[in-house]
Amino acid sequence: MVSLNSKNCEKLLTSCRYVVVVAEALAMIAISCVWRVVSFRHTHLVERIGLLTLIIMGEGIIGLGTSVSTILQNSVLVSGSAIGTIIGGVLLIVSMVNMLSLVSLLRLDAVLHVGPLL
Amino acid sequence: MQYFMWVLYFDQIEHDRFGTIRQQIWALLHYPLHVGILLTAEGSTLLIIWNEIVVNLNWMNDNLWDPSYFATSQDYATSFTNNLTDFDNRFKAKELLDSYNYTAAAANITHFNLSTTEGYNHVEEIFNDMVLKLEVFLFENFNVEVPEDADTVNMSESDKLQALASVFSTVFLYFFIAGGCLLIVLAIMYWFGKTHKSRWEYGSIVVRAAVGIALTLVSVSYLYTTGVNLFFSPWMIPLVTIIYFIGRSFLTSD
Repeated sequence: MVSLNSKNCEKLLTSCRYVVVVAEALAMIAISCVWRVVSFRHTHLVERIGLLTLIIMGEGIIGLGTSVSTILQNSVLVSGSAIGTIIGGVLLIVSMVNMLSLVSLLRLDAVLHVGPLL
Repeated sequence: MQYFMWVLYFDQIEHDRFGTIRQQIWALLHYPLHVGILLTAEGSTLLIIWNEIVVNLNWMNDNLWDPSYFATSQDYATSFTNNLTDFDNRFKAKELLDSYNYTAAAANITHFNLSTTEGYNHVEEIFNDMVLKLEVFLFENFNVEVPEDADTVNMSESDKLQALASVFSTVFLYFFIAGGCLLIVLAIMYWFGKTHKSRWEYGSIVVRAAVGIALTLVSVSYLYTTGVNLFFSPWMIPLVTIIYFIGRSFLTSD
């Protein structure tokens, strides 16, 4: 048996957390399969999850903004390679939006009539 | 944590509107997708800060003189003070004098005679101490902190430096792993998303998954010197960005 000191407890709690999340997700699917099988209003789910994805990407952009502000607050000269890395970070987020638009937000376009840009 | 609450919330709302099982698995796959996006974006944030730290570390390597270049300790003390004033002028938020009293150290140097081995060793020690303190200052300047733990209360300076550097080596690992897994999850979701797929689309799924696996495996370079070179260069973020851009334009038929 593993000894119950604080570090082991923390690790156990973390792994329990993941197990519970997975079990809950599977339980949700199982319940919806068994009792409420046919429903054609699935487009709402797709739309909402697409929007959630946009929110998560926004968090990424916020993180980028805080790192740029930390650098500008603290150093006198911003070196060329730092500027290049920052541009790389911005393009990373842009390219993620592009990639995700293929898979999930494409359906969102059909619903919201956004147009060819996304 | 916030994230878990969000996802569970959405699961709660939607469980009675599910269509086919395909839709449900597709929705379920969004969780790893979001974790991947979050880790990649947060990783790129930290790697931007790391790149700035590396630029400063390179400056330190190029510009700080160690005692072997000087004949007398007076000369060395003068150059020491000049070097450190230059270093301090690179930063506007924090002053080096607050955390490391370098004028006292410079005065200390003049007490030793550089030509004797014993004196030289003392001055060498002061130099090493200075480098260590400068590196810790650099990290703290950019608001990098050691994660709170029972062990970190009484740490020597070099242990602190190890811990601070290990924050960034963890970022290096998870950035590439998350970036690759993102591509893999996207490949799987694409597979689930479209019901009637042409051969081209199957091909693009396979290519996307393969590129994702390749990107994940870049993190294996952590074990080799190539990884260290990559770690100290500004190329980490652009590498992933270029791979994503290429993935978007060439691998898809839309």
